[in-house]
Amino acid sequence: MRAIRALFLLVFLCTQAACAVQLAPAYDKQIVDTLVSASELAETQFATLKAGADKSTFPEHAADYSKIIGKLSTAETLARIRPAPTGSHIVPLGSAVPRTADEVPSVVAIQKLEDDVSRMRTSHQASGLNETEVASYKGQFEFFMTNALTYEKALER
Amino acid sequence: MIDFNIDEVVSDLKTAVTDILGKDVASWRGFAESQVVALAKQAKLIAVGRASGELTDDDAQFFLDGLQSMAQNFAETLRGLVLITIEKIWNAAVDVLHAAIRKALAPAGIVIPGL
Repeated sequence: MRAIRALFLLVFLCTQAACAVQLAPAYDKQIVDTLVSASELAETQFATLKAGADKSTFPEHAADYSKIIGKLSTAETLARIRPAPTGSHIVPLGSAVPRTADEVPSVVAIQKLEDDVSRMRTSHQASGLNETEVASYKGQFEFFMTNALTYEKALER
Repeated sequence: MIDFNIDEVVSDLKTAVTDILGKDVASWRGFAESQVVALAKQAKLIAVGRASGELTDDDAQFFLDGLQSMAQNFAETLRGLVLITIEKIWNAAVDVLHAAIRKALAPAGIVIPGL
């Protein structure tokens, strides 16, 4: 009961705007859409290369790799230009609230996605890909994409 | 004398909190369960791939480093999801309390700007 009275006094003293907190960045549908688009392109590439591919086939796939990386870079840029959440001044939670883009979990995930596809492209061009390599790149890609999309979709609150 | 029903406010607060927590915990659980399975599958893929020679030392190292990053980003993503839920609960509680105050003051014709 004492806690309720204290909370009551706190919110009585501040306006709606001042009392509301923000502990995560704002939702941006464009980021979600760009990630979904990147995912569609990547999954198509993984499906096409599932059984592996000789390095001589790289030129046929070069443009597809570029499209995937381009989409991911765009998603990263959109995520980075968002203002940081304002809630880092709340003392018990302050250090957990992202202050810079590099501390936002989906931004980190998107960077890992770019690394994954870039390395796969390099390997394909240099020495070709076998079935296990493709499956490993795919597993890593899907994991980080799930993290990124889950977090970005949760921002719609 | 204003009429401020504490029991009603407590009940509204509990409803707001339980609604948000119920939905969000269910979605975290689903996310966590599927990602934990994915981590295990990736670890197996790396081990089998290295043992068979399908993955070179270099590849195996890249994917092992990747596995570590996957686990770390998973933990950070979960933490981020929890923070989003805390934010929703806090803001919902503020809304309930502000509404209760407005309701209590309305019969006396008192309006507080911004509340």
